[in-house]
Parts: sequence; structure tokens; C-alpha cells
Amino acid sequence: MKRFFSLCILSIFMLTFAGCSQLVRSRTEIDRIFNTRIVAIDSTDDNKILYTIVTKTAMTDTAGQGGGSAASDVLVSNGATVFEAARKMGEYAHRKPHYGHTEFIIFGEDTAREGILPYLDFISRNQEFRYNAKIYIIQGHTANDFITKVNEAKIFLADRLSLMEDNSYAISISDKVTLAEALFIFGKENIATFLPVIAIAPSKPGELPSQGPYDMAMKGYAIFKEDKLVEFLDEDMSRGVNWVKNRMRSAVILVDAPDKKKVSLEIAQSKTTIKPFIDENGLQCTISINFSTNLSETMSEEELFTIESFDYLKKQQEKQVKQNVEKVIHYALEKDMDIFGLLSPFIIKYPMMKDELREKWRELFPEIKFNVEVDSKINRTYLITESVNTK
Amino acid sequence: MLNYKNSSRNAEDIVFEETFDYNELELTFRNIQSIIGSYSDFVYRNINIVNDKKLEAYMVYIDGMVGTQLVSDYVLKPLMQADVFAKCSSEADVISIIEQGTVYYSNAKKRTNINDVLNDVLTGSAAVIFDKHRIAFTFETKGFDKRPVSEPISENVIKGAKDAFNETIRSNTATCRRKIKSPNLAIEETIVGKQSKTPIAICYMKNIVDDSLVQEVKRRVNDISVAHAITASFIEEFIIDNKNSPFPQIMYTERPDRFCANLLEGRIGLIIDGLPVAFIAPGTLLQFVQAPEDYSQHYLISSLIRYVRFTSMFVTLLLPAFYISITTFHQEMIPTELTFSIVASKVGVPFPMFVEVLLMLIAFELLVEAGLRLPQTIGQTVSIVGALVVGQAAVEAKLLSPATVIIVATTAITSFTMPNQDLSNALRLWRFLLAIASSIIGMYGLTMGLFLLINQWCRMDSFNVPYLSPFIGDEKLQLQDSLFRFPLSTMKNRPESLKTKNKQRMK
Repeated sequence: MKRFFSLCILSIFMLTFAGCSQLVRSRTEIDRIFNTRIVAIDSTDDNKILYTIVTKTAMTDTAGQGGGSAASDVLVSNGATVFEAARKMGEYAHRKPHYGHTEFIIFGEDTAREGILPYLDFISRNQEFRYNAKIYIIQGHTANDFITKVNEAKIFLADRLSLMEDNSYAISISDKVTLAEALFIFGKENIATFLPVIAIAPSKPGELPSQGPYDMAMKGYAIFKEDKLVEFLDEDMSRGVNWVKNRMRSAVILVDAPDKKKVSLEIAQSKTTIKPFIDENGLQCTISINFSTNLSETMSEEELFTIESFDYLKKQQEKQVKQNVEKVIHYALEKDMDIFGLLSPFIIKYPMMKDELREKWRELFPEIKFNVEVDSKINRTYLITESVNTK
Repeated sequence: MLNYKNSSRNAEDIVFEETFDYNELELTFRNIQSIIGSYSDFVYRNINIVNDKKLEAYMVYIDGMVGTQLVSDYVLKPLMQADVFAKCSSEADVISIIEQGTVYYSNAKKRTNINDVLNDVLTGSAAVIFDKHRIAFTFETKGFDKRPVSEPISENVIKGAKDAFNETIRSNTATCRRKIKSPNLAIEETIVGKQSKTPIAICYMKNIVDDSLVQEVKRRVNDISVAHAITASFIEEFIIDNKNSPFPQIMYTERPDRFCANLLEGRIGLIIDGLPVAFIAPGTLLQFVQAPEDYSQHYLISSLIRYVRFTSMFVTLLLPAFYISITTFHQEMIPTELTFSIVASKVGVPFPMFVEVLLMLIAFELLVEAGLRLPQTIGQTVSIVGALVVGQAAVEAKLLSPATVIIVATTAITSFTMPNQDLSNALRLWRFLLAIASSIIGMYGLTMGLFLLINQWCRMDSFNVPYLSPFIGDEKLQLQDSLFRFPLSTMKNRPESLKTKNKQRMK
């Protein structure tokens, strides 16, 4: 017994103290890991993969010297597969790459057009990645290019992306798509999907994107057929996607007052319901949108706070929303891409037709007859009932 | 001539078994003097009843243990001056008159055995010995200095009784009697300690407590065979069930109100002469997390505070180990921004996280120990030096990271919320074990350590009451007074686990 206890104590000290750290291979001190925040994947011309990871520089915030120095560390490597490229970073990485904090996975436009599913295999297998990491597509550039150019900004790139995400609710032309969602949709046949797009933008208004210094901007959605990028949607259609998918959080609707001056209405609440049904005329789908707005600004000189004026504004906002939605529906039908994921609502309503619907969805989808119903109200007018312009 | 019984035995036997066994000796003044010797605090006096040289007696007492005024006024004065003794012609007449109560001292005992006389004298009685008749009278004239009833030190409450136990058993039992004015309050006394002869009062409510529990407590107390019972552990360690567990198994309190409340619950109390605390058995984990203040505040406030205390218990136990685990093995568990804050604070620190935490924990233990040992005024200086040196200087010198200091400081603060110091000490020990386990295999180590701890708790009994009662056990759950303190009106029954005779506490 005495020997047993001696052995136990000896083992504890051997395993615990740093001299025998090799015994516990998974032990890594927190300051010796490269906490990846952004993973960027591009395919190169020689059929290799350019793999870029970005983290925040440790000293930036705490030492109070973040002002002039770069806020991030970037590691780049390449390989025939993502895994090989990731491992090859060990050739020169000063810290062990760790993906537990990866918040953004970005792909260049060319890579996205070739198909992104093969690159997600490594990410879905690696136990460190979080499934709530967000995926973005870079319009017109490679992901590495994006990091190289935009990372010059003093604020750390991932923090900037995160803030942009938080603020994007105000315009609702884009929304985040997580790795889990993407893997779920890309794995399905016959379903198209959309991923948010980021574009490199000039940091000063009026400059060309090629001049620099560079900034970035949210640019709606990129439409994917299976895992391949097909097209970028404009702002109206991106917002239309958000309306149909019930992802609308807030936005500004500009309408005309009776005197043709602009009035800004802020979307406060919205709810979209999709009602599929099948009858002798084939597949039909009613999209009911119900939303309310606040009157946030008026440039009109007229008295707007009357029932007639509100009714006039209401009709305009409903018309605008309906146009947005019909435009994107028309686009989807024309391209034969179910970007709204309508197969599932049909299967849920008609489970006995599950196999048939799945099998023939490619042919059935373009034949669906859509009916868009929009109902709205202007809820809040605040306490100011008169515009400062009112004479 | 003295004849020690079994004088051939070795010294150890004499010390532990035979010291007071003088049955073979006759009850005479000379024999008593021979046994006791001529120590300076023993007072021997030759007295002649009413100055009659024929009526010879001897008085023995210990200076400081008896009230000399009491001896003079109520023992010596009647013997020397009472007219009734003037008619006595022999010592037998004197003895007969004393037996009739002429020496009007309330607590007088007639002794014929030398051991009894010695015991009485050593516990503060004055003995009057009649050599020829081998008879002595002992008068309980205790008059030693005792600390008055003062305020509790470690269990202070704002809204509650301010009296605390002191070192005198009789004073303590009287305090209990004042609080429970019931003939059912039983206070049985037994002596523990071959040398110290420490009286221990076993207190319980006859009409409530489970008889088998009383028998068990008595058996364990009577089985204690030690030289002295001057410190608490000499009783506690001998009567608890799991001697190797650092967790307390009987509760101590310095508050008579808490003590009495537990007696009325159906528990058994032990009051030990010479200790200003009383013990309550059986003890469960829940009791050690409850504080007297819980029952003097509104139940919502008490519930909140008690919940915070439970949380603190787990924080103080697990936080260092958890911190080591997540910073060394499971960095993905830390929120992203916090990760970068920890990394930034760790830059330049040469030690691994485990060593950092261990150093800080040891430094904290040293500070606590130093603060306890030093006088109160210097103790504060130690705290300041500790905070400055360990906290600030070590961080500035990049020996420790600020995040680690915050973690260990949080651990320390939460440990101070434990109402029971014994529980706090046990948690200290387990905190180190869990930190070591988690430094080896991270969260798995921590989980395994925690599993072992909970396993230990589940296996523990205190006087046949499960240690985790009322959270485990086959009786119906009584959780009104556990994690939260429900209104008193909902606590209609006494704890099931105590198997009380009268289960109903209120209608």
C-alpha cells in the first residue's frame, strides 16, 4: 500500500509539472496557440489551395499601443488539400493554430463558382471548428486578397465583420448564414441557397476600389445552385429573399408623400408565412407578409398625420414590398432555383407525396403559382405630429 | 504507607488507566496528602470543631478552584461556631449532625471512598475529612474565575440573540435550560479524559429524539479513551463515522439559540467543559452551508443569500481547476474576447498556467495562516503586504498574470462565505486535488475528481443519517429548507432522516 501511494504521488508530480509535458500531448498553454478568427480559402491556378488564417495580435488591446500597429497576425500556406495546407503552416507558424474561435469562413468568388463543398469537408471534420461560424463570399476578389487589402484598417478585421453583421439589421439586404446551415443545405439535392456577400469598397466616397486604402461593405446575397455560385443579387432582390425567408429585421422603405416629397418608413416588425397547397391547377404557394412600420422621417411640407395620408403611405409601402418579393420570385422561377427552400413546406403539408415531390422537384418548382399577399400598418408616429417643414 | 495498586505495571498503564484507582487505600487525610503531594495550590487545614480538640477534622481544597468566601462563611463558620456542635462529644455526633444538614450548604456529599473525594476536590469542592471514621464531606464550593457570557465571534448575526457559549459547562447548560423551558430537555453528563476528567453534557429532547441515536452517541462518547479532552478534536475525531474524510460530520456552534433549535429538530448536542463551542450530531452537508442569519431574515432574502452561498461553495471548489482546464486544454470553451484578454495578460509570464495557479493558491494559504497566527493588529499588515507583494508586484514583475490573480482572489473571497470553517478547510484541500487532476487531463480530470468527491459525499453517513440528506435517501424529499429557505409555515415536519419520535414541528 505504501508503495502504491508513493507511485501515485510520483505519477501526479510527473504528469503535472512542465518537464513532462510530452506525456500530455493535448496540453497547450493559452498564450501558445494561434486563436484563428478568420479562415480564408481560395483555389489557385495550379490546382492548389491557398489557406489563410487570421488572429488578433495579443498585445494590441492591453498594451494600449494598438494605434499605429497592425491589429492582426496572418498566416498563409498552400497545399493540395485544405488539411495539407493547414498542416503545412507548422513549417513556420510561431503558435499552434487553433480553430475553436473561428467566427468567419470566407471564400473568394472564383473558388465559390467552382463549388465550396469540397473545402468544407475538412472544416466539418475538424472537431475544433464551431458550427455557428459564419460563411461569406468575397465579390470580385480572392479571400486572401480581401484579407491582405482590408486588414490594413486599424480595427481588427473579425471585429469589424462582427460589427457589420450586428449593424446590417438596419438595411436587411443581407443576413448571416452559419456553417451548420450551409452544410445542411449544400448537402441537399435540388435546393439552391444563398450566402452573404462582402465586397471590397473604397474607403473614401468617389474613389475606385482599386485605389486603396480599402474598406469593405455588405453586398446582398450570392445565389448558389447546389454548392456553386451562380449570381450575385442586387439589393432589392436580396431584400426580397429576406422577406420570403422571414429574415427581415428592419429596413427603410422610401415612399412619396402626396406632394411627391420623400417619407422614410422604418420596418419595425414583420412576419412571413408560406402556405403551400396542391390542387387541380398544380402546386401553388401563398406568401403572406405582414409588417408594421414607424414613420421615421418626412421631408414633406404637407400634413401627413391624417387617416387619408397614412392610407396613402401604407399602400405605397405594401406595393414596394410586393414588387421586391415578386422580383425575386420571378428570378428564382426563371433560373429554376429553389432559393426559398419551398420543398420542405410542401413535404410537411403533403408527407405522403414526399418521394414524388423530391424526385420531380426540379420540374415542379418552375410551375409553382405564387400568390403574394402583403398587409401592413403604420404603427408609430411618435409624438411629433407635424413635420418641421410644415408651413 | 501508600500502596499503589498494581504498582508493578509500566508507567503508560498508570497514566492511562490507574491514576485515580486508590480503592485499596483508606479514606484518611494522610493518604490524600500523600497522593496529592505538597503542591502549592492545594490547601490542607487541620480544624477542631467548635475549638474542641477532641473533635478533629481535616479540610482539603484547591486554591483558586473554590470560592474562599463560600468555604469560610458556609462551611468553616458553622463548624467552628454553631452551637449545635458544642453538644457533640465525639466525631460520630458531628458527622451525624452534618448529615442532618446543619452545615447549610446546598450541595454537600458524604463520601466514604478516597477516589470520590479526590474527584470532588479536583473539580472544585472543599472536603472535610474525619480520619477516624474514614468519612468525608465534600461541599461544591466552585469559585474559579470564568469568562462571562459574551457575543459570538464567528457566528454573529444582526437580528438575533447576542449570547454565546463560554468555557463553563454549567453556565452553558443553564443557558440552554433558559431557552428550552421543558422537562423533556435531558442533560446527561459523562466524564471523558483519564487525566483531564472533562465533563461532557449530552443534551437532547426526550420526547423528540430517536432513542437509538441517543444510545449511539452515548456509546461513542463513553468509548472515548484519551488522556485529555481539552481540545475539540479529541471528542470530534473519536465519535465521527468517516475519520479519513476532511469534511465535517458534526456541527459546532457557539450560539446557544442555534444549539437549542437543533435539539428541537431532533438532534443531539454535546457541551464540553472548557470549550466555548458545542457540538451537534448528526451533521449533514446542508447544515454546514446554512447560517443562523438565514432564519432571522425574510425568506426571499435568506433564499437568495443561501443560493449565493451554495454557488460560492462550488466556485471556491472548482474555479481554479476549471480555469486551468479551459486555459490549458479547452481554449475553445472560453468566449472569444475573453480568450484574447487572458492571452494578453499571460504574455511574458514564464510559468505554465497550472504553476501560476498553484503558486497563487499556496501564497493565499500562507497569507491565511500568517494572518491567523499573528496578533490581530499585525495580521492586517500581513494582508496588506500579501496583497501588495503577491498581487501587484508579482503581476508587474510578470511572474503571474493578472487573470490568475483575479481567479484566485475570487476563489478566496467565495471561500470566506462558508459559514463553517471546517467545511471551508475541506474545500481547500479538495480545491488542490481538483486543480492537480485538471492540470493532468483537463476537464476529464476535473470531472473525475468531482465524481470522486460526490461519491465520497454519497457514501458518507453521520450517525446513520446520509451526509447529503435531504438530497438523497429513501425518505420523501424535504427541500423546503435546502437550497432555498421557504417560509417557515411550509416546514411543518421535522427532518425525516432524523427518525424523530414526534415528526410534526408545527400544525
